[in-house]
Amino acid sequence: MKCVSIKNLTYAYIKDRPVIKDLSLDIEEGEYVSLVGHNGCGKSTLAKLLVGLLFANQGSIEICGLELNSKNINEIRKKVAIVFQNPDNQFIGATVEDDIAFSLENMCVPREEMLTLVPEYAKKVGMEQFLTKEPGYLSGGQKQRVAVADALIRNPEILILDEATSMLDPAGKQDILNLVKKMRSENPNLTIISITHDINEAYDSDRIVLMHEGVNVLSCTPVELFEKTDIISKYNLDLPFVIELKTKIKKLGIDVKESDSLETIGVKLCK
Amino acid sequence: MNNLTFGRYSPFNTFTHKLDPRNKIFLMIVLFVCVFLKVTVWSSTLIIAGALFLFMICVMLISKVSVLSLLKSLGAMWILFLFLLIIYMFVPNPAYKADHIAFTINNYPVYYDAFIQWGYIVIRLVMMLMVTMILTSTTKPMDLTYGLEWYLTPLKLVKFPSHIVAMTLSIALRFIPTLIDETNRIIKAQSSRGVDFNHGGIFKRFKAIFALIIPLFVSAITRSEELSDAMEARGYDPYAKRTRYRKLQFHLVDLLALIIVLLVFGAILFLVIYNNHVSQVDIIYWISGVHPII
Ligand SMILES: Nc1ncnc2c1ncn2[C@@H]1O[C@H](COP(=O)(O)OP(=O)(O)O)[C@@H](O)[C@H]1O
Ligand SMILES: [Mg+2]
Repeated sequence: MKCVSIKNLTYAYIKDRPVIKDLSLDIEEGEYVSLVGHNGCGKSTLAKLLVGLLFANQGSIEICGLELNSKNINEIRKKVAIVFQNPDNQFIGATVEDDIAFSLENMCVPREEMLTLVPEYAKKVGMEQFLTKEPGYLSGGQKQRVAVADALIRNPEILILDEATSMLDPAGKQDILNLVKKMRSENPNLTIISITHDINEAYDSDRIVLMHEGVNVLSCTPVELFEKTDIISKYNLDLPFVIELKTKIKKLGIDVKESDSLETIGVKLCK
Repeated sequence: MNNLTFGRYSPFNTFTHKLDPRNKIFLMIVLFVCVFLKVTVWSSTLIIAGALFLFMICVMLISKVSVLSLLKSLGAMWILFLFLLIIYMFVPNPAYKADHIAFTINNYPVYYDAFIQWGYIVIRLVMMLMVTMILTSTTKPMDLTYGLEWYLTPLKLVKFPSHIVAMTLSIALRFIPTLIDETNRIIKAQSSRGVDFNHGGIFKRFKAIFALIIPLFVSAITRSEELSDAMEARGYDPYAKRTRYRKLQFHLVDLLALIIVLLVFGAILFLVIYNNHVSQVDIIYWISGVHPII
């Protein structure tokens, strides 16, 4: 089932200078899509259009069969959750528990339910010991985990991560990535759109969408993408560690295929 | 930037910390009224003030409010006290008893009453400071806003957006530490680019301040934009109905504190009414049978 369907989307902050140009994209339910592209190519703008923080000039967005417009924006926001880049600027509550409860308060969830839901979701992201802590006492990674809990507690169908790990240290980043993996295994129907500069992270997803100057240049599986050497060099993409490893091993004269997993390569190497 | 110690919340778990912020705000107002009740006979007023002062010292000790930080903030207020003293000494007041001249400066008479008046005002200011400190160092800023919001709720009847005011306040409070960090970061960044914040004449310092203020404003605006996006994306609508996670509760300790403070208030009120309207006895005379000297 199609979960997100973007048709001929155009958006301009300043008149006649579109940032998103006639972009079309379909995303299936349960799919994990990575959105990559250089700074300023319009990824965040697209994310904001998807959560209805901005409204398209032309074209349409359908979320779970519901066309996004200013009338049903509240319906849409219940289905789509977003985690932004800066951990500080999305921490709204005074403490971790207040912040996790913020979305629930907006959805008019009764207090008794919140009292059980908040610790439950804090536990999911491993923040149960920090419930009463203020943001000043938390690391960036911990704040971002709270942001993920905020997003999950709304029980969304689509989760957008807009460079959610780019301001974190490697450990914090790995925490978030593991959390995303865990969420996917717990709820296979959750659609994830992850905007990222980390090509290794993108390599783990079901599909990579490459954007360039507001257009969707390419959309294919990671393995397919990294076979297209012309595209890689044209858009200056880094190679994921696995691919680099494979190219190096190939140079050694060992036959590895693009679709081989790390384990099979290991086995082949040992032979 | 880090020495904003006055009345900062200190995370203890004392009797006062446990009180409902709404109750604490109310008690603060009652104590303010106590501080400002005035008896016609000055010596009685001083005795009442002294008793109240002792009471507040006790509360401060119970609440583990640092006396040192009180002294520090008093130290910062000495100019104000000096200024008041000068005003009381040299501004003529027909209420001063003409025959009670303490001394004269160039034939200008300075009355004893001036010092007494000054004494009243200083002790009152000190007590107000104490009450405020007790409140702010035992109550989290956020709880204070919740308390304030509760008091503002009746204004909803006249369409006053009390919840929006409270949300704005709580976000402002939430971002104070973040902005202080940011300020320190910008100071360091600009210093490393050669801006000198600590030396030079007024004009040079003024320029240096601009090198701080402008980046700080730019970043604060970016932050607020991102924050509003985050709030909106999480379904916040200031005009829609919301449920509350925080619930303020009036406990037994609140009742106890209320009774104690109301007793103090009642006692003072009784003395004031008795003294001002029933009979102008001096409390010193009342208690000891000896007339005070002045
Ligand atoms: N609020 C705004 N007003 C005007 N232009 C903007 C605004 N936000 C972003 N832009 C411009 O839109 C383009 C795309 O930005 P963005 O979507 O943030 O890119 P990305 O997230 O891919 O780095 C950039 O050229 C940026 O300068
Ligand atoms: Mg971006």
